[in-house]
Amino acid sequence: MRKKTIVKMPEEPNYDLDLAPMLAMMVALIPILLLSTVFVKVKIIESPLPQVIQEAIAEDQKNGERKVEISLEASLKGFVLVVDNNGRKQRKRFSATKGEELNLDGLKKALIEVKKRHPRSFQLMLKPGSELSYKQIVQIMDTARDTGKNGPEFTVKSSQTEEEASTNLMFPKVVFGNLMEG
Amino acid sequence: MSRVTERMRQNNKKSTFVLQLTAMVDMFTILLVFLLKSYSTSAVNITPSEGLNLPFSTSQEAPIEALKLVVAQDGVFVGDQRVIDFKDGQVLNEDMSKDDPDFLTKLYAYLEKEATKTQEIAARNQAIQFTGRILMQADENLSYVTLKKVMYTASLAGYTDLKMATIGE
Repeated sequence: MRKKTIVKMPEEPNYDLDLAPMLAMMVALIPILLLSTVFVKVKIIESPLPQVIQEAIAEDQKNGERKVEISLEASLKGFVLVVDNNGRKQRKRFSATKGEELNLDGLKKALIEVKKRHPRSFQLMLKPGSELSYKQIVQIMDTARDTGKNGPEFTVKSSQTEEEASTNLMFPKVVFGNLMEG
Repeated sequence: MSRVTERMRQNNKKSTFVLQLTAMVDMFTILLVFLLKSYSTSAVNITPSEGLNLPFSTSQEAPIEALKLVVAQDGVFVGDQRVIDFKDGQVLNEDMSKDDPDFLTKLYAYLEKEATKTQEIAARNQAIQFTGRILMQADENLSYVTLKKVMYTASLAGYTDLKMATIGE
């Protein structure tokens, strides 16, 4: 009779991963990062503009004698949007407040209308009233900068290459018009 | 005594105490990823002073190196140096010029000195240029009357390229 051989299966090795060095590294790294991290969000460098729009903005900035000048007189009494087209001035007055907040929706609508008529203008001359706070001025500048994520886009045509590009930028360059006034 | 209880007792005798670090390592890994994500690599470090509330803005432009002008509720600072004092966010009469109430004499003198210093360095070292750039960190509750005086004075001192520091979304 054949002898029955018993094959012993090797026992599965049971070991624990030594996490102590990893833990030591993390304990050293986390305080360094906590000390050096800036939680106040610093702006990210982005260049989202197509070449055509960058050219148009540069041209608009170079244009010393501007044909179209758009200015906004902002005070709590009301917004006055003035479009000076070769000396012909168009004024639009509307309410500056909506409840306790600034009427930024109304301002955006008015600026979109102006931008549709003058898509190659990128500068807005802002004349804030003395009673406005810095926060409100920044809100107005933000409103004038672009139409937002879902807002309408404007088509700009390159004067050199005839190439067209769309942008939601309205007036990214805001100049304080009454800074030098007494 | 049951067989199961006997076995458990035997097992307990053999076991050694091992600290379970897995959960802690998990937590540290999440923390590390979060900190690395929010770690700023920007060359320009803007640290808002205590009590200074910068306004929120949708602007995406990165801050650039410039002379730092802090306009707080209690005064104006250039770098770390207090130049003029405010009372309730308003400029004191003694700091205003008699001829031109928007002109702040002390601030002008300080900024002009800074501009001259940079221009002298720029004349000797071509790597440095006087750009007239100023980075204004102003409190969101300050009125335009106060800010206008500061901006007007800074532009007369040669700092015509004004950048306003805001907090991103």
